[in-house]
Amino acid sequence: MNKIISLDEFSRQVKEGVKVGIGGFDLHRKPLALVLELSENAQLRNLELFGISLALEADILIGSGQAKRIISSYTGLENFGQCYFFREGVEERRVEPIEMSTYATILSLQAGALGIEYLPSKTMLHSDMAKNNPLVKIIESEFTGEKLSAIRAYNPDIALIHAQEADEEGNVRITSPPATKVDEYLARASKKTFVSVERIIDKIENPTISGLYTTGIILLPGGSAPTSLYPQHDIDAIAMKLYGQGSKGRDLKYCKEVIRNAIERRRKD
Amino acid sequence: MQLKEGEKISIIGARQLAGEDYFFAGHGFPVLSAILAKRLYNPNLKICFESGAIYSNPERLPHSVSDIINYSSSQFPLDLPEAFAMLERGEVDVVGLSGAQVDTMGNINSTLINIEGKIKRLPGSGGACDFASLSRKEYIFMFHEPRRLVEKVDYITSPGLQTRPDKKIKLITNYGVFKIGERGVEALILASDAEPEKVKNSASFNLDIRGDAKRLEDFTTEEINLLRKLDVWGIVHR
Repeated sequence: MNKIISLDEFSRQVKEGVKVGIGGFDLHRKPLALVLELSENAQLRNLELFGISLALEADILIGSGQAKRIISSYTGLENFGQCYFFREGVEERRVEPIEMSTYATILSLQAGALGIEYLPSKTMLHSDMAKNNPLVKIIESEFTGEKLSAIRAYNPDIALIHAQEADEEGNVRITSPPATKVDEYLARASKKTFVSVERIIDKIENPTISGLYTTGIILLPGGSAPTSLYPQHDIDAIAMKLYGQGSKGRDLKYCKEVIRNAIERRRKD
Repeated sequence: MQLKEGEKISIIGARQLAGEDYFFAGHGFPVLSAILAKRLYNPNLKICFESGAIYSNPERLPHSVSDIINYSSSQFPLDLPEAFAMLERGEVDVVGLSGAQVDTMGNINSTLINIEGKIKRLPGSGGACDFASLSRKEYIFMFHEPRRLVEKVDYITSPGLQTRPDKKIKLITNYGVFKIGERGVEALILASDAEPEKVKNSASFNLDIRGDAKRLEDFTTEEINLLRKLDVWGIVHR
């Protein structure tokens, strides 16, 4: 079965109110071309965003008024500033944040991928983030009686991932870490997984993500700019800086333009 | 040479890391101090990042925790789950963190600030809560200001002394090095130009400064020049 689809076909399969798992990590390998496409669909609202560490991709969807909830350990631009649409959305209570640590988000996806209810860890035990958190419960070990955080499985309705290459059967290769393993958990945990790629090749041996777990492959070279794509592309620091300024000024149109231009530049690279 | 307050934090932190073997570095001051320490005092320091870049040696302040220079300079470029599992298993139990507020229990807030009922939202903590929850020894890097050194943080993002009985926490500020323990916060080492009264008055909690607190040697030109080369854009230094 040929899994290569157009951007339009992808867009049609994403419905209002779905849980969106965002691949990549921090300022690395974020599925920005896919997110830009979704941000143009004004009908698409009430999304729940999940990511281990989110940045401009979440900021854009919040700025477009499309997200009602955000589950993450971080939402910011690191050295390049803050995500002001996120910040304002949370401060004005339009967006509900569910606070997680990075490890907890990973364990959520891993439990989701394994098909089990939760995974235990000693993280978050004494943190306020664990209070009233639908994904975290403090339990006692059946073996030692020790207190543990039970991190509940998370299963997104759709996953958005950017990768280096895929084949027609939907096998995907991500050439190096970080977040390679986490994206594999994400694909397995999600009901549908869409992957934008730099190129389509004939056959991928030993894929990072098996075609068994992917729904659609979209050819979108440069699709993770301005975030990095290790080892081929470093962060586009100029675009990130401009995005930071645009977000601070709450200029959504400008922010999208910055991303679009960064993708276009990298595509021609 | 006139130093910025942030530069003092990075250099004081680097000197503290002279005796460590392993160090999980949070973004900002901790990573900068670690790189500086590795170049000047402790070439064998094994710098680890939550992204999975293990035994890393970046040539400048990374743009972010996921910056590819952490990987290209890493002896073991693993992935996120392995990095956190190293902490959970206790293999690496020394970490460096920063945040917006710290309190007398060593709790760190990176989530929100409550200004008279009005919430100011911060970006969040990434892996900091994991670092704090799963480590034995913690270095907390913070500007020495009353709004940051508080009796009780507005929100416990990364928990402190309550995580384990043998927890050790050192607070690194632009005024020196302080121990956060069961008996409160006490000065261990003060910067050569730090006046005790000013140091005390610049914290909102009670700070114990005894006569036996050591004095830090003056900052060197070598430290300052290298630091400025590492933080090319002056990101963490103000």
